[in-house]
Amino acid sequence: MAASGPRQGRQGHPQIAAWLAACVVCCGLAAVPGASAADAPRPASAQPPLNEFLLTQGREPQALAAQWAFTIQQTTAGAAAAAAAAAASPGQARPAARRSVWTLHRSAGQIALLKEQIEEVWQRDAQGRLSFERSFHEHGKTASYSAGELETLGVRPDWATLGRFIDTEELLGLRLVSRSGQGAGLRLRLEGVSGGQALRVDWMPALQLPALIWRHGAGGPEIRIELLAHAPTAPANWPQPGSRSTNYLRIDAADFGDMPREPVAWLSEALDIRGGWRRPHLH
Amino acid sequence: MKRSLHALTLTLTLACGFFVAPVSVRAQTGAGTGTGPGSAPAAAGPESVADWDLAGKAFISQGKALKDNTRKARNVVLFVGDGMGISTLTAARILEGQMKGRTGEENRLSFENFPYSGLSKTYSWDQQTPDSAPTMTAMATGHKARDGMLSVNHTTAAGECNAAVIESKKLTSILVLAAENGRATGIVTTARLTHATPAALYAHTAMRDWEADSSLSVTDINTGAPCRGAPGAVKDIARQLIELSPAVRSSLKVAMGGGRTNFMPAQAGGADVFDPEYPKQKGRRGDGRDLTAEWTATRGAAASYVWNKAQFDAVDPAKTEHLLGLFEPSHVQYEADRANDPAGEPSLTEMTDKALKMLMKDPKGFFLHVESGRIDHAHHAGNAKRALLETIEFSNAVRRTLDLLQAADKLQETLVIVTADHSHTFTIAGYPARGNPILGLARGNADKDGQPTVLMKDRNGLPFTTLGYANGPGARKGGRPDLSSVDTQQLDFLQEALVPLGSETHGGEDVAIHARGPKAYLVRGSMEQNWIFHVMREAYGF
Repeated sequence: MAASGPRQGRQGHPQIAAWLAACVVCCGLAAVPGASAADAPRPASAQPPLNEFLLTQGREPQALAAQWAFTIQQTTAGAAAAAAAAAASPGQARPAARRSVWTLHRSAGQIALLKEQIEEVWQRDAQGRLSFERSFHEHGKTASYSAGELETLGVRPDWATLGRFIDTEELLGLRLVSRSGQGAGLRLRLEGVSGGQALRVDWMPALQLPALIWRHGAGGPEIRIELLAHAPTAPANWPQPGSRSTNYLRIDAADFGDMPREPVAWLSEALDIRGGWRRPHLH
Repeated sequence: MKRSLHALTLTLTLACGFFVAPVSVRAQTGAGTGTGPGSAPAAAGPESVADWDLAGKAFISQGKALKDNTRKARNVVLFVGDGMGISTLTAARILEGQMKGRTGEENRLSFENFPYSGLSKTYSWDQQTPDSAPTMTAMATGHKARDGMLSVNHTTAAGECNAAVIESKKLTSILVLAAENGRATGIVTTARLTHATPAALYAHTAMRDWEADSSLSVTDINTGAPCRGAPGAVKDIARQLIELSPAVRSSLKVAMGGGRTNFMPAQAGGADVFDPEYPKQKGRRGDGRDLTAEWTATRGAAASYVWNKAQFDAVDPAKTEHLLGLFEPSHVQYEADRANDPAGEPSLTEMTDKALKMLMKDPKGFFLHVESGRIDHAHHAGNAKRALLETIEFSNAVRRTLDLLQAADKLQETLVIVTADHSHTFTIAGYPARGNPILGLARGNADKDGQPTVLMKDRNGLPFTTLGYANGPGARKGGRPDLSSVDTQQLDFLQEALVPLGSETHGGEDVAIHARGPKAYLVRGSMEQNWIFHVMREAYGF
């Protein structure tokens, strides 16, 4: 009887590669400063006075719900200029684009990002300890990360940062290009390069959320995330955390090492790594 | 003074009946190490020149005085450190010694003083490097089995769901044999009680992950027949723990660990059922059964179920006949994190203590299995410090066991075996000086005595840690990091690895077996892992 299934190198498994390609995780909740960004040098363009303005340091973002339109479009190598031009014209039709809606729920005890294929939920208990669950709708399974497991993996996220939807370090690496509106309606346009990709963000300091994220690198997909709506509490017709995953089979992330044939373990590990987890932290 | 200390050590050693390291206790210092002021290396051990000879002679004397204990065992305690390979033992003993302010290398974990040891070959029937299911099956039943399978023989098909087929393939465990021969039995673990290692003692399944009914596959992967919830389907592991045969049900006095939600219904009366400690986590049972309630309902008036430290502390072993303890929805906390647990939970040592006090009430004797399940998890995460702290706590549990048995005058009638199910890819490397912090950067002795130790560097001039992994999360893109200013002894530090994997893997080399008590002398040399079962059975005389 032949041994079945791969026991190693699962990050390179074709199924995972295909799945990840189809399931782009754009910064957001999976990227935890202190894990990924803290290892990267801060771009020289960072402007300390702007930092305080962007992040209203010392205060956690207010509770709210928000929805973005997420669009990813494959582009050919050398089409960066065209893509940049297209970004300035958001209404322009583009072939082969894939669209979906992302929903964020942000409160004192929970931050959840609901995507088409994945639901990521952070919980904070009364002692301030964080736990995390990542549900895979296609597989009907949820990977659970206890507080102890997160610490074992060296993941100690900042709650306020999680709620900003975009990696704070990445945001602080951009330069201020323009501003519009004022007070609660103030928007800051920020631009720069992050991870070898052109990045543009329209930031709303009052909400501590982006109105627009656009990123593109040569030969890679063009990604556009545009705010559709926000509200103090989510309307009833918006997806709710747990509404799809409540009866999913739960897998403890501590068991991943004993599950060499479990696709959800592979996928969740791959997303961990993409977010900067599961690697040495040089602090 | 030194000679009298050794004489005392030797006397104590012989009186206790197992080996004690005959090394004098002194703080780490260069003083008294040998050749005169100014000539000693910066790092050195506490031994004098005479100590080496004295220690060697003491060891020989102990060996000569050692008499095989040929009596039958009234009791057997099987300790399993999950993933506790030999490099883990070495590093843990050094860390424990260094935590006591010593150089560390001369330290011994509690069970390293046992008089008998052997090497266990851990391969399974179908894998070179095994997982915990077939390895514990081997120790528990005497049969090597297939990867992922619990206490069924190796002719079982992968994914087999048919209960009748599983029944025909099942293997009898040492716990069941002990129960059928009138012994009280118990299981203690820091993993889920339904996890592979403890489950191999009471459950039979082709899939170790079928811990709750909701975990079973919808259909049999071989036949396409209905599986989950079907009348002829094998029972999930949690249910098998509750629905034991009458003899085992009566004998299983204590079962403690994690895995609470596998015993809780997802819903009751149409409403979701949430965990008492983590109110956003639901029970996992789709059949609506509350197995914790069934435990107390089916084990008599003196049965208890506890899920937090206060309840655990309130349990009086003298008044409790059957105790189920489930302290977390999944695995219990790492020892390093246990103090932060919301509801509090007992340590492995405390659980072992309570279990022994319940089991020792039975005049016919007992069988107890104690597992440190989270050594394995910390290694999978590439986090050596947590793995080593788990190992030290495991050693503490063994020590407490010996103390309790000694106090109850049961030590000589109890076979105690301490081993591991498999290893990991964990390494101790470089040429660090004696007493160099085991979790630190490797620093070697200088060329000239009296000079400080020197940071060891790779070919690119970068320092490295003594501990590392052959694979796992610790691998980095773009070459090695500069660890010069990194606190590698921090609890959350992930050691470097060579091959990049999301989770570090098991290792395939042999693991150690340590034994003392009746028939412990049968543990010797190179052994197949399944022979451990035969040693236990022979000791009992079944």
